[in-house]
Amino acid sequence: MLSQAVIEETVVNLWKKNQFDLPEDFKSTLKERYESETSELGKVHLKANIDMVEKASKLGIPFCADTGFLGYYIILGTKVIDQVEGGYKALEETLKRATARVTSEIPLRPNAVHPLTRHNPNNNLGPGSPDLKVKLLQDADFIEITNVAYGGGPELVGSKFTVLSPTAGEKGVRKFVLECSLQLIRMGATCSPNVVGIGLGGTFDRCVRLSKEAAILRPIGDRNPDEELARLEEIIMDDISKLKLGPMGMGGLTSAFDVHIEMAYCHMATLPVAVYLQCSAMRRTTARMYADGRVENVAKSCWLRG
Amino acid sequence: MKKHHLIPPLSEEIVKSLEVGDFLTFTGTVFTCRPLAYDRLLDSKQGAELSKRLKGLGVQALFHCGPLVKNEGEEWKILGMVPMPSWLAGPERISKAVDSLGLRLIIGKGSLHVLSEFFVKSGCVHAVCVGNFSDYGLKVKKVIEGHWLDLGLPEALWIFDAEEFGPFIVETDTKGNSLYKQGDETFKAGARSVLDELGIKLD
Repeated sequence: MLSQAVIEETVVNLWKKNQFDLPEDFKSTLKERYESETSELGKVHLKANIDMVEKASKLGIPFCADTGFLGYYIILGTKVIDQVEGGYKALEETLKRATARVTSEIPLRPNAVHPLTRHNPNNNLGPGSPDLKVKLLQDADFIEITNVAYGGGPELVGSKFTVLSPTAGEKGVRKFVLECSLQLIRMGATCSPNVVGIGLGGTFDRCVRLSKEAAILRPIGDRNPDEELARLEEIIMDDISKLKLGPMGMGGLTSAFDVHIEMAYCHMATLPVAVYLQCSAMRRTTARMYADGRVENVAKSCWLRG
Repeated sequence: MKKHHLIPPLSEEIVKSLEVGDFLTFTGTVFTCRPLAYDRLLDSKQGAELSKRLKGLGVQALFHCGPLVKNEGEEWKILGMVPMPSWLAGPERISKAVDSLGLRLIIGKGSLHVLSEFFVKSGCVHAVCVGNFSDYGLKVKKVIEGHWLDLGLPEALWIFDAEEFGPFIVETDTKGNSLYKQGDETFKAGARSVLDELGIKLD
């Protein structure tokens, strides 16, 4: 039996880990790009990030004060699903409890508010908060949970959706992504450098979801297994780098850390494209839990390729 | 690029010596403001009272920020600060606040070039933070007061003392210049080939 107590402790620890320190792919990329950046101001921005992560992980405080809108990607292995104490409903309650707990204990910034009244319960709980996404995985003997925090930058200005003409093709997609990057990074509207997530195709909702998952769940350097999409990822990365918008849009070589595309088939009348610019404050940690109570931290979620 | 350390009272003359791209640090009292607090500050009886209080404290610096705060008994502690985009407050709110409170320094993120003419007249500058996230919260010495906590902790208005607060980069100065506006011209020239290839026209 997988107890709710084990799940709660695991989830709380995942938050501490991802709020106090960057994932390894972001940490090493930040250092590499700092070395290769030639713009003086660009270097200042990247150095500030590197220094803050070092301080935050030593002090045990969040490295970015916008601690994000909190979300969980939950994968339920079919072999373990009937061994979760209290079932799925209890798991949901545990995640909500853990969310309120870390908000006051760490603490995290209470970011979840009513859209119209702007009421803030100061505990990051409310309809749709935390953001829960669930998938079943056939024959897996674990529950995998990925904690992610969506920053205000990507949620406010870093996200766009459009439906292109069905024959706009690769060039149309490149143009839209570049126009988004320009609009969002130019004049420092959002925090660059970013990981650019692109949802290509799908239905209206799936397209948007894929852009976010592409940006957040795939590590920097990861290429789409589809060769054509992998090639397009590199072309768009090259396009954005040519803009030389640089860190915080103040000019420089480092405009994006990477470009990730996730594809789904779409209605023949459409070519939907969504863009999500994940900022460099990546909060992403994953753990797997087994029926015997074993907990294993994993570097990469199997959400997209499970 | 020049470096400045600012200590209030900030005269018009000092502020006019700041130029885009200069680095500055600040030792003194600052208050935070996000859109909800702006509206209450500029348009309510409570706002008029708090404006008096801010003037009484001699506060001349506003930080567009919703801090990460922690309650410790009777006291509040600021643990972290990252800026909100200054344009989110909107030029009208900002210019009204600068005029009514006599502000000399607005700290935030992104460009306020839309206010460059206003800043020439008012003797106030806009400076931006370094990094996507940085250690500003660790430079806060003491939270003096937190007002309007009913707006939610990040949207409340926090008044605090800071030491060697910074560094910030001057983004819009009092001479009608904007760091982003200047950089934009260089950027447009350099990006021409890829923009032309994809048929993207820039304003």
